[in-house]
Amino acid sequence: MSNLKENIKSLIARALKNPSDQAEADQIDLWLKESEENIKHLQSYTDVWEASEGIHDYRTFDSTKSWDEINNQMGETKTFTLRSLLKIAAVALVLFAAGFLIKPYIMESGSHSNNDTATVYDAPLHNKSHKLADNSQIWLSKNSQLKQVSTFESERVVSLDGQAFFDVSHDPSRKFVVKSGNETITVLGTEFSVINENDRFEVFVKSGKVAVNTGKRNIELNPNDWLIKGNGDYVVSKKPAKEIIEWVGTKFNFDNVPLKTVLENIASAYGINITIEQSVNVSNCKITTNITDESIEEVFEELKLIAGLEYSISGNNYSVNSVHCK
Amino acid sequence: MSVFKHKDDFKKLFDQWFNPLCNYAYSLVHNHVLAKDIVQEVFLHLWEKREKLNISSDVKSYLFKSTYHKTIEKIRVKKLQQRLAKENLMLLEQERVEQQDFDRISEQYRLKERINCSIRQLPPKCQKVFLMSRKNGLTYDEIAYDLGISKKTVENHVMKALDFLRKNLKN
Repeated sequence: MSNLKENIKSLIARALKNPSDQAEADQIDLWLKESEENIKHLQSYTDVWEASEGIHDYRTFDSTKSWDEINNQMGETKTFTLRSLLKIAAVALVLFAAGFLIKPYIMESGSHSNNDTATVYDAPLHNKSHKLADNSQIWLSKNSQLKQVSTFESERVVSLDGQAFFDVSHDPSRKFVVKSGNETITVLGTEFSVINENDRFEVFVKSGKVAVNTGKRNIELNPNDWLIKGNGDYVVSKKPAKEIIEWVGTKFNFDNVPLKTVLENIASAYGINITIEQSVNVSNCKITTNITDESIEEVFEELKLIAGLEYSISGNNYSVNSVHCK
Repeated sequence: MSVFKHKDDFKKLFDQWFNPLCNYAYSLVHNHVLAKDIVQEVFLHLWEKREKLNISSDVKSYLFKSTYHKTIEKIRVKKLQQRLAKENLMLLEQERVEQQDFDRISEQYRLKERINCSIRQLPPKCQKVFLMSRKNGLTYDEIAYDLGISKKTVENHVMKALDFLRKNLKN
């Protein structure tokens, strides 16, 4: 009896591997007819056999090491997002304060031929992201406008009116050029960030190289270089990335940024007015937080939590009544 | 709101799904380092987004879906070797059209993970024979020849392994 059982096992083993031998299949059929239990038995073997398909490729990855790596980055989630943003290949952050408009005719006079067909990206109602023809991603703030001023065939040239964040797709054969007033920023395939606000103009390079033409001279920037414009002059120094204010759509990464600046950014992103009561002193208040696609109510709730901000709302007008900063 | 408020919960989720996900990613990219990187990024992303996500019941499908999308993104960006990139991407895009059933895939890999753990508990010889038997194109005769044992012994090992696995998987 037990002999037969062993025999059946061999048959099953062979049938699983190579289900074509008719004589053996008949023997298994006979055995199956003996009892319901045998059918269940065979079923459980085939189940496991099928489930173990490809199992010889299955391996055990080093989860301890991976966890350590993740854990390291989790500890500082606030700065992580900022860093990961800077890690995106060829990231350009260009900020223009409202009222500081790059006159479109600067570029119009330069390239008449392309102007008729120039693609225009805008954001009339709220911050908006667009994908350019070369797969680069841009985020425009409210009321900003970006024009593609070349066909992108040999060079990718854009001009900007307002605020924008660029995530430029890497393509060594076609330079990516952002024209902004006097300065021309050329991406050579790298990671960098630019602030252009009122008469403040700064470029920070995370890695790789960025070329800035000031109209008078060319400045090549290397990793960790900060280009700062002051009194019409350009100075390159080293500065920590910490002081960068990141702006992407309604995504903010504030890292120790004055509350006043935070509120200004929020007001322009959400298209609201924020006033600070005269009696309220916000000068000592620095904010560190991430805001991603949150409603304006959520943003204020967050500020209430971290800065003890108290406020009142009337329509589109937000008024800050008091602040409790440590 | 979210399935994990604390790091401990997140670690549990990680421990449970890291390996199945890596193997799933490997099945898509055929590169162990890349597979690991992809899954690490998926978990980091999940952690960063923990307050935004509302995926309480179906976190495993979410993980597999994220891994799949992250893989497509990686293949595009990295372009591995030109040939691999083209083939894989075409394959993946095709599958995408057919709508992936991530619930099924996640169950599949959970089972694979359990089988993999169980196999490790088998005696070495039995383990080896069983793994060889699950390689396509390798017959029992070849395994027997390779290991210098009889075909009958090979079959016995296979069935012993199956017996063990099937009992182990029941609970």
